[in-house]
Amino acid sequence: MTNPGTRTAGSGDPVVSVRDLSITFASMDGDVHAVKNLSFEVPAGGALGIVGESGSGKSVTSLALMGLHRGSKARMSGGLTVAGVDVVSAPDSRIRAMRGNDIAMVFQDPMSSLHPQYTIGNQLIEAYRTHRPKASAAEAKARSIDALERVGIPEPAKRINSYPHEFSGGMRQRVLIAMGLVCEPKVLLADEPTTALDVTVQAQILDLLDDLRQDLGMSLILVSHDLAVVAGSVDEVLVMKKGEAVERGDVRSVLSSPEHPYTRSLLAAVPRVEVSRAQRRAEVRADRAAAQQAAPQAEATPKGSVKDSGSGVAKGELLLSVTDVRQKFKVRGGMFGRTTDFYAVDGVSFDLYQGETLGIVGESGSGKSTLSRMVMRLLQPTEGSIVFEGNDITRLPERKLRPLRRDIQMIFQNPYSSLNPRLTVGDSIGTALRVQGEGDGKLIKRKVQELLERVGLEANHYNRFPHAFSGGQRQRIAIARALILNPKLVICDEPVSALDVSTQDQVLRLLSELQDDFDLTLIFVAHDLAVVRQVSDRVAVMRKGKVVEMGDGDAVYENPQHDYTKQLLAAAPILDPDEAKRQRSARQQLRKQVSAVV
Amino acid sequence: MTAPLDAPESAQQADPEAIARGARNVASRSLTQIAWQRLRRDKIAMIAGLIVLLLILAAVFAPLLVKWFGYPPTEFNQAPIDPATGGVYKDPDNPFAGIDKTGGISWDHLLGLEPKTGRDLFSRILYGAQISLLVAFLSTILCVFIGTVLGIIAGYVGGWVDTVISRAMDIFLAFPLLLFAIALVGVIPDSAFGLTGNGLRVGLIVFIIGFFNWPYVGRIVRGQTLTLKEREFVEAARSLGASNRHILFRELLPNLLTPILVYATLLIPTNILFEAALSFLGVGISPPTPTWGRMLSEALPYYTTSPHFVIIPGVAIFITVLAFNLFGDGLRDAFDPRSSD
Repeated sequence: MTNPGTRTAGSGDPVVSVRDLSITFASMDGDVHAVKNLSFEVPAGGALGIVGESGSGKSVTSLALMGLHRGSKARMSGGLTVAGVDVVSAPDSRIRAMRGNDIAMVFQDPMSSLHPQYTIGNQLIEAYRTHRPKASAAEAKARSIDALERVGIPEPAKRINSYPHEFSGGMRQRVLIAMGLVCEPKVLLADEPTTALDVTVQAQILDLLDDLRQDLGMSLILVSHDLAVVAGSVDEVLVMKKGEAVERGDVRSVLSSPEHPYTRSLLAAVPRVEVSRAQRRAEVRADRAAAQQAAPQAEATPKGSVKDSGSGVAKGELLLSVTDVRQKFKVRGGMFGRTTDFYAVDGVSFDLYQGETLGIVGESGSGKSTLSRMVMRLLQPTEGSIVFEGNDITRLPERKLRPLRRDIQMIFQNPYSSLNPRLTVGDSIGTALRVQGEGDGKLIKRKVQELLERVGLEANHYNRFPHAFSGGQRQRIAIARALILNPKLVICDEPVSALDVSTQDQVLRLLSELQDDFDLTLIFVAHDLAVVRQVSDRVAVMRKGKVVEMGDGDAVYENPQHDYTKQLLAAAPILDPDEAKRQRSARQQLRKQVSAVV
Repeated sequence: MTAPLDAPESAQQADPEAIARGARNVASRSLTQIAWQRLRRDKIAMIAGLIVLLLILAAVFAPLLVKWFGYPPTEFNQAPIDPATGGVYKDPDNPFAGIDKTGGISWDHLLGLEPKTGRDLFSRILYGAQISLLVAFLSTILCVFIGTVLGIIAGYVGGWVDTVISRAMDIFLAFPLLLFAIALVGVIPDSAFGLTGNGLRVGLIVFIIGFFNWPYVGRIVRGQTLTLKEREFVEAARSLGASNRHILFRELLPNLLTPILVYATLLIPTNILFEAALSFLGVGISPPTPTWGRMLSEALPYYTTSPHFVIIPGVAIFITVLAFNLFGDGLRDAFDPRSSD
């Protein structure tokens, strides 16, 4: 074991150096250039963030750094050196020694990256002994316990005998990091390490990576689609687009004065938790008015009525009233299938007024999706009542519910599974009219095509299949499907969480425009605090099936009352690197307080 | 890692301004068209598909082909046959020249003669193909029909309906099918259900295979339905006010067609083998209608003098089954669900 101090003070050579790297895949439609002429270096102890949207080549780059492109059909050119090993030309045995010893990787999905049939101890010890064949079993075990301790797993000596399913997502990600650390690599490569995790857990993992880097003198390469995630954790940032580096530089200068227009548009698209609903609305409306002046021939937009309703939306009529709803699920436990009851939503009440937007924020398992499905009446509430426009729909049978379904529509989370892959886009949208009894095929087609244009697609997309569209386009199709029946209430269940930052921004703007034009009332469900703040008049914070705090959006964000809301807000990733560091120490304080209380 | 299916797609995602512009470049290929493109690049599957096509054409046009290149399949021809061994003479005019081990293959008789009876083997193989393929296709259609209907209901409705149908599948699969078939076909009368003779036998074999093999299809359809009904587009359809019938037939069924088609292609060779086995055991179609399985069993006493009589029907079964299997594999790869979402 080398002293971390000597490592950082070493010759000053970069640990990772990439020169003119190009990676090309052959596909049915010709060559795809996943990475083009990429160059960067990471100094010992340094931290580099690689940022780009899906398809930008960032994951291909990180796989190449691990030498995982070998044996695939990818064609590579250029130089790639990790800790003195030439990854392009070195023999396989040398590469195997490099992995783990010199560079370790933490993958995106902690749920599928651990072997479910072995204890985490087995997996850690195996990782260690593969690289240190001479180490004794006892030594390997001691090392593994050390590594678990370091990543913050409580009682590591005991937990080492647990199986992966006994850990939560965040804990599994910690175990994976421990597995990477066990051989004390010079570089830790984290590819979207927090994308699958909740906000609070994300903050913990990022804090952990930062601590480890400081304590062990490792270099860190953090790959993410989210600029805000890397901002607080790296020194240098590399922005990638379509396989090429468009901008590279010190994190402060890139984020404060980006040079490349792409970086600028990316930064502008990142939702900011400090921007209020009113500011955002004014901004969207101003942009829209400007666009309309610039292009007066855009007649497709029905009555570009830029209402100047200001910040405080006047309360309209009561549209929906949810009283004390609970949803019970049976959880089967043990070998003999003894079922226990579990309340996914536990006593939630709220009123919703015409024209307003209610944001529902919560982490996974908070019951926010269940709640939206209850309002949708895709689930029947176990207790409580849901009254829509004076009609109690809580226990209405499906047949009577059908005509009412026109008025409440839903936009689903995953645009890849919410559109039937075997139906054309036109059929998918037109289905709504057809099942509601409209028989005139030409009328349906005309309406669908009008709406397609309204959501920013083209009328001739009518006959295409969903797989030909990108994620953002598919979400536009899903929005069109929800709007074709002219609903009064639209429930958006995580409508942008599967999308890239810039696409996310466009879809949010579209929703905001449509809300003005169609006079919609929205329930906006999301885990992303910043996104919810930008669209919501009122915000409800959910945790474990209960609403812990509800109130005016700005009030909740600026003056949170409940501890959990405070925790959530403290965990939200922030673009300003210095502010992010301040938040990090604030979180440490908060955590100490919490553990002191416990 | 898979390379993207449509190169322009990743490009659109990366460029925020290109929503409308990029969409114009979007190819409007359907999933079936993409699968066809993939299938065309799979040489083995294409060759197998060609053989399958030729076999079907040969069976359909058997009467024409036989008229041009052969003799009627039931016409006896004792002249070149050695009455002692049943073998075919090398030279019909000179019985002392010995027995021809190739069974008299010549331009006149493309696949030689049957020992003992002297019937033309080429025409018997062609007519045998008719029976084999007819039984295989009809029984597969029956399997697929029963399996799809019950599988989709079990998967979609769930609850006790699912339990009943699933247990029924287990029971059907536990049935000793071959023994049952032998017992049943052995005791059938000459006419029943308005059918007589071979029509009745074909109908019965189709019924037995179809009725006892549907659980294989049923299980696959049920499993697919279970995963499909969790996808959000089903919830979306429900929230639009769609009825169960609409969801089952308009939303789910189109997504099930691919696995059903692939499995049906793989079920056909199994059914061909089953029919051949029944015929081999003598409980299939009655003679003199030719079937491949019966030819094999009839050939056994002559394998020393006329080995071609064993080899030719065997090879016919082998090629047919192999071609269907390879083609089915190719179809499955072409429709690979991992690369189409």
